[in-house]
Amino acid sequence: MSHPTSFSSLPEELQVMVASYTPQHNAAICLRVCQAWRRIFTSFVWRHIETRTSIGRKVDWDTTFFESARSGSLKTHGQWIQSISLRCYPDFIKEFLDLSPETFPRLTSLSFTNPESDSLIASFIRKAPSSAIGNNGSGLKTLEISGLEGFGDFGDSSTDALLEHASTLEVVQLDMMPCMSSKSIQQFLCSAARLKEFSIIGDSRNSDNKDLFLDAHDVVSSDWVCTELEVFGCQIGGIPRPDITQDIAGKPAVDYIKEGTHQESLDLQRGVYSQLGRLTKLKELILGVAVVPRWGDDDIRRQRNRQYDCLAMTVESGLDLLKDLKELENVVMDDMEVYISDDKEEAWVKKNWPKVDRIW
Amino acid sequence: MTVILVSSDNQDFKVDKEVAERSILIKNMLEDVGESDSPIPLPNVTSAVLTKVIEYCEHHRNDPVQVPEETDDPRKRSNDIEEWDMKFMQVDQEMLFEIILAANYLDIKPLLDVGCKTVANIIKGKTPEEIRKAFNIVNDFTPEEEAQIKKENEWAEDR
Repeated sequence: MSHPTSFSSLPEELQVMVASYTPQHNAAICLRVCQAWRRIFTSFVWRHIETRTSIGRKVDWDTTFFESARSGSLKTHGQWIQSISLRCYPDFIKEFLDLSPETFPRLTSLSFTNPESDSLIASFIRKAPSSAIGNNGSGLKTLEISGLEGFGDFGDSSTDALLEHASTLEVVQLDMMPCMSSKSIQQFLCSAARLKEFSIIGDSRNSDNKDLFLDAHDVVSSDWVCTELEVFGCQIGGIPRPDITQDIAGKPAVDYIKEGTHQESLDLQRGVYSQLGRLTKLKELILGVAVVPRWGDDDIRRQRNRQYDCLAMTVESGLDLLKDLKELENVVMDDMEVYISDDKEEAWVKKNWPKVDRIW
Repeated sequence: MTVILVSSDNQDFKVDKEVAERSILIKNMLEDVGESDSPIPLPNVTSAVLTKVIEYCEHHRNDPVQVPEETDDPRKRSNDIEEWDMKFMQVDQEMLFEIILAANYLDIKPLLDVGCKTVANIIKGKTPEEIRKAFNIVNDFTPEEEAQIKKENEWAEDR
């Protein structure tokens, strides 16, 4: 052998294997070594785009990334991107989209905060490969959007875009935004067969947007297909509760709680329990959301946060239909008018949900 | 039961079947021929490299079959190498790459992984110039190209 064996004598697949063991920040150095290394390492640098905090750094992530993207790199290397996680301001999200290629064919995970508008969210989701075409990637599996700073509106366009990816999505988390209609949530749960985590929890009552609730009448209209679900977080409402006579402030209960007879209430609740009862892999069941009280909150505000049109969680209303949820560990029913801590129900929980130590 | 392996420079190595079968290539060959005493020629592996490979297989003879790692996400892949393997891999670079090539040819996945991780660890923390020096690579970029590539990927350099 004339040349000693070296890195360049490895066949390309082995060079790629070495690159696969190289963390992103090392790969970014490696592609500056020579042309051959550039070819091998580029895809490993561009696989994951994630904003980093600038605390304690020489150079700001945002500055270096956008400078690079503005020179066209995001369009050129977008084909390699598998995951995007952007925690930044609406202007950045908008610019990121403007600098992006038509699609990210390998994108499987998309996570961002503070989207400015419904149409912006929709066009971002549509950057993922369409699952119908069956591209070389495996389709969009994770979608996490949070409107932390009060930005964001997951409206009709976003909903349509989400439904296009229903067959591949495994994790959907939408936080702190006005959100999908009850009918759309139901349609999604009836078409997302691979779903493992579903959580849409928001400050809905503050924005007077009751639509964030999944209406019990919709829940019972057709069967969910998401039987792999491990986390379910969504408020279910629209249930008549003639058993409630006064609100938490001690005032007479409002009219809508009483619309419907006791029997109608029980029938509807049983329908909902049966739907939930089929999710036998469920580990977390979050039906209620506590709104952290703010200084100066009055009874009216607390009253508005309280949910009355919810499941009663009583043995009488059909709790027993949830007895097969043996994997349950965490049950959250904050700020809901439920009876789960009553003696009979407490004994039932102890017996049927062995992994649950307490209900929040 | 033992088998005889023959290196490219015609040296015979008598090893336990169990040890030789760490190589999927040899395992499949033995299954194909059935009970047989005939030596197995390995024309791609020199005796020096084969000695090392056998040493590895002897040490790992009782390891359970490895489940392939599902993720190809380098952030989640572990670069940890167990202590014995780390010592075993303290060889000169030529031998390191020979072992990787042999592990690939003989189809010994865990050895191939350890080899690739060792190379990845050599790269770690070095500047491009230090990497070129370590692997004897010529810089074929123009200074302008190099500056442009640096600018394009700088965002990823911080961990």
